[in-house]
Parts: sequence; structure tokens; C-alpha cells
Amino acid sequence: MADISNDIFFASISEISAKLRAKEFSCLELTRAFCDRFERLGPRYGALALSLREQALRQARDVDSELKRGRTRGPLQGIPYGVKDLIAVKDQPTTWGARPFAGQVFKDDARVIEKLNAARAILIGKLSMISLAGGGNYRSPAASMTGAGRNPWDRDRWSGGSSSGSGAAVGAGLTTFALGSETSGSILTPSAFCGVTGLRPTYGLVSRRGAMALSWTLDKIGPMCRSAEDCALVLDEIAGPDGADPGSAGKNFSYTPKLSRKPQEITIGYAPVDFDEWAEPSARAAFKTALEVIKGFGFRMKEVRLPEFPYGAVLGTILAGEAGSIFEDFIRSGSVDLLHDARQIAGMKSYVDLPAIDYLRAMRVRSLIQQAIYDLLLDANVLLTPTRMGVADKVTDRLDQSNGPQGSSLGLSTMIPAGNLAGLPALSLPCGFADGLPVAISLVGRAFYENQLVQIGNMYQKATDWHRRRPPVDA
Amino acid sequence: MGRPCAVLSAYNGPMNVSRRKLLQVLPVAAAVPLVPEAVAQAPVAADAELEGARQYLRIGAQVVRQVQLPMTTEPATRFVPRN
Repeated sequence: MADISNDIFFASISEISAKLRAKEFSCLELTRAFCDRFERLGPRYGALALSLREQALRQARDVDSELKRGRTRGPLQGIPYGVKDLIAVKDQPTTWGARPFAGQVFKDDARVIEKLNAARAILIGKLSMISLAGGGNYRSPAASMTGAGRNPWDRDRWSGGSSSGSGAAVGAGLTTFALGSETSGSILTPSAFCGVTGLRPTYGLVSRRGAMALSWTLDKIGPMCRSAEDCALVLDEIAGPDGADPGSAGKNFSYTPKLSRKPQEITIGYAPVDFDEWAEPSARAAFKTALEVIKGFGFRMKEVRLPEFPYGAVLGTILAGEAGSIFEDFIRSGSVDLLHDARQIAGMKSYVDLPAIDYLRAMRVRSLIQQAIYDLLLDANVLLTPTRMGVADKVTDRLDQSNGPQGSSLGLSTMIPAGNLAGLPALSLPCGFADGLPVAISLVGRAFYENQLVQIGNMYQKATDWHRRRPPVDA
Repeated sequence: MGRPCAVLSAYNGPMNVSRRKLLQVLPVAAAVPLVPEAVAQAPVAADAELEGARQYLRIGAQVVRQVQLPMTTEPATRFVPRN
């Protein structure tokens, strides 16, 4: 039997794929090793919602059989991965991270699972998450059926939300990649906190059929991986039109690294205030160094700022209206009281009281925001800002009371809600450490320009090794 | 949905209205605490928690209402962005 070394658990998709094809180990051996590790370490990081060992081993045998016959498919063939537990896997529990849905089973796979099955990726398990993807807001990192997601770099710190298990699993080397979802920050935040690379696709690029809806007009599914290139390889497989998703853009994504533009032809917008004032003092050096590395590639750099809008309030009001409607029966039935977080229970209940006029007002303001950010991206191809202004919270922190540093002007500090309201893609890249914990920068691009973000991400990750740093998981 | 932020900073980011500015433009809101008691103190009763959550939504909606909105502006019904 081949020896699966620790290096494999932190290897990229391309690296593992090459070793599989070179027959350094079989897919069955690889999958068994990942399943063992996932089951052993997953609970330690609050990442394991459900092990799918048996079905994974069946899939692995099929891949070995294919490889034996010389039938090679795409780069994900035989690669172990996990999915946030709001994505349906046929005949398996899909809990949405919430006790009231613990027994929920769907008859069909989500569209993204169908696509990854077709690519012969190996699904080894479901990953923990904040209950109902954080709808209603929440006070504690432990607002989940499986407790707090714990950070691979420090178990006393949170792995972020709401894709808590996805961030922790990739960060700790429990899966090679994971799928998360984002309504407002749920891919980018755990990616930044856990030191992994996360890609939030353009709204409508990836089908959400079979995934829990929190907000019809904001939800996206995207990859969390070891590198920008890995994100592109996964997106290449999961993107595409789906008539069964009313939000589908009807577009595909093909990873085309060879069609890259020269840096001199790309303008990157950034706001100095983000780096000088909004960022927590301990993280400023890492962010500023990352900015200098990006500048050094020869991009045209331009100082910009977001147009003045109350992005957080607009997004919160839209989310309240849509989540209140989606979960109305659940809320009115009283089942909502079985959630784990008192703030979340109250928040969900408050949603059903939102006047329609408030929702519509927020959607009208959203029209202005979409136009304003579209105009901003006529001046700059890509926007650059810290993903989060500081490091992961402690798992004992109250999340509704945190007030970090503030800036004298908005800069791009509200890019997470702004980018989500506009439906734009974003790529979070690990860029260093503060207080021993990872921090990250984000690139936000024009709609359907994921390739451009990945191009810049690839350049950055060739020049740095932050994305290859390993947490003390096996110590 | 990502990590929640402070009461007036719904969902991952500070809003661009300072509390001082909010007090100036929102006389009604100024009469109530901007950090509701239900959030600032623990433990809290479920009723107080619910009132705090409602207050949170109300303040958010009030902030949205401060945006100057031409009458011709229709709600965003196109969610797939342009490129």
C-alpha cells in the first residue's frame, strides 16, 4: 500500500492529479487517507457535519477503474472534496447546520454535486456551517448544530462564517477543496480567517439548484481551495447555465490562463485609507506589503473609493425581506425556537415584520448601487482591499459587539456588502499573518471577469508563499 | 451570510453613516438607543431580544430611507450583472 504523506493533504489539485496519473498511489488509497483524516480531525475543528466514506470509496474505485483503462477526464478526477451542508446530496442528511432540519433528506443531488460527480471528483463529506447560513444574524461563533468552527491556526479562534467547516477543512488539509456559499461574506470571511484561497463567483454563474436559499437575489456558491488556480479549476467544472435556477446567468466559465492581459493594460483601484486606517494595526504591515507586491507587477494603480451608500443596511433589509419570506412557515410554526443562538432566533422572527415598502426601498437603492459600482469599474478593472480588516475572532467573542478601527473616509472598506449587492466576483488571497493568524486581500472584478482575478491571483501566489503555509494541525 | 458586525453595521461592513450623523438626520431614531439594550446586555429575555432585533431592522430601514431616490428609480429586478 502506498504511503500517503502529509504533503498530499496540503497539495494542490494539479499536484495530486499528477501523482494519481503517475500511479504513485491509487485513488482508493488517497480517498481512504483523506476520509481517515477528515473523521479524525474534522470534529476537532468543528468542521465535520457528515462523513460520506462509503460512497466516497465507491467513487474512488470507479476512478481507479477508469484510470486503469486509460480514461482520463479533467483535473478534478479523483480529487477529494467536501461541501457546505446546505448543498443537497442525494439520500443523505442535509441539515443546513440547524437542529430543526437535522433529519432532512433530499431525493436529488444539487446541480453542483451532479457536475462534480461528472468530473469524477470524490465527495468525502458534508461540512459544518452556521445555522441557516447565518440568516437572522447571530451572536456566537457557535450558532451551529455542530458548535463553533475552529480555526486550524488556533483552535481558540473562529474559522469564520457561515462556511465555517469549508474554511476549516481546507485550511487543516482535511479536503483538497470545498464548496461554500456566500450571501454577504460567507466565502470570503472563512477563507481569509483560515488562510485559504476563496472565489465568490459572479451572481448567476453557478447554479444554486439543490442548495438552501437564504436570499434569492444574493446567494452564490463558490470554491474554497489552496490557490487561485485551484479555484479556477473547480469553477470551470461547476459553472454553467441551469434553467432550473431562476438566477442563472446562462453563462459558462472556461479557465483560460493563456489569454491573460499584460499588467500594464489592467488598472487596479485601491483606497489608501483601507490600509492606513481601517485595517487593524497589527495587520497593516501585511496588507501594505501585499499592496506593494501587487504594485510591483506593473499594473496601473489608481486611488478610488466606493460611492456613498449605506451598503450594510441595504443588504440587511433585502436579506430580511427575502429570508423572512423563505423561512416564514418555519418561523411562524415556532420551529425557529430550536435554533442555537438567541440573537438568531429573534432576528429570524423580526424578519416577518419587515414592511414590504422597506424591502422595495432597499431594492430601489440597490439599483443605484449597481449602476454606481458599474461606473466605478469603468475606471478600474479590479478593486483591491483587505478581505477582512483584522484576524479571526475568538470562539468566545460576541460577534454583535465588535467595533474595530475606523477610517476617515469609506475607501473600499464596505466592499463585501457592496460587491454582493452588485453581484460581482471576488477572490480572497492569503497575504500574511497578524498575531499568528492569517490575513488576506481581496480582488473584486467586473461581472464574469473571474479569469482576470485568477490571473492576478496566480501572479501574486507565484511571487509569495502565504497560500502554502501550513497550520500546526499535525503537531 | 458572513460574520455579523456591530448593530448599525449589518453584514460585514461599516455603513457610511456615522452615529452622530444619524442622530442629526433621524430625530425619531435618536430617541432610542442605537445599540439596543437587548444586544448590549446579557442575559436577555426572549421578548427583549426580539424587540432588539426589530429595532435593528427598523434602524437599518431608516438609514436606507435617507438615500435620495428619484421617483423614476425602479427596484433592482435584474440580478445578473452587466459586463
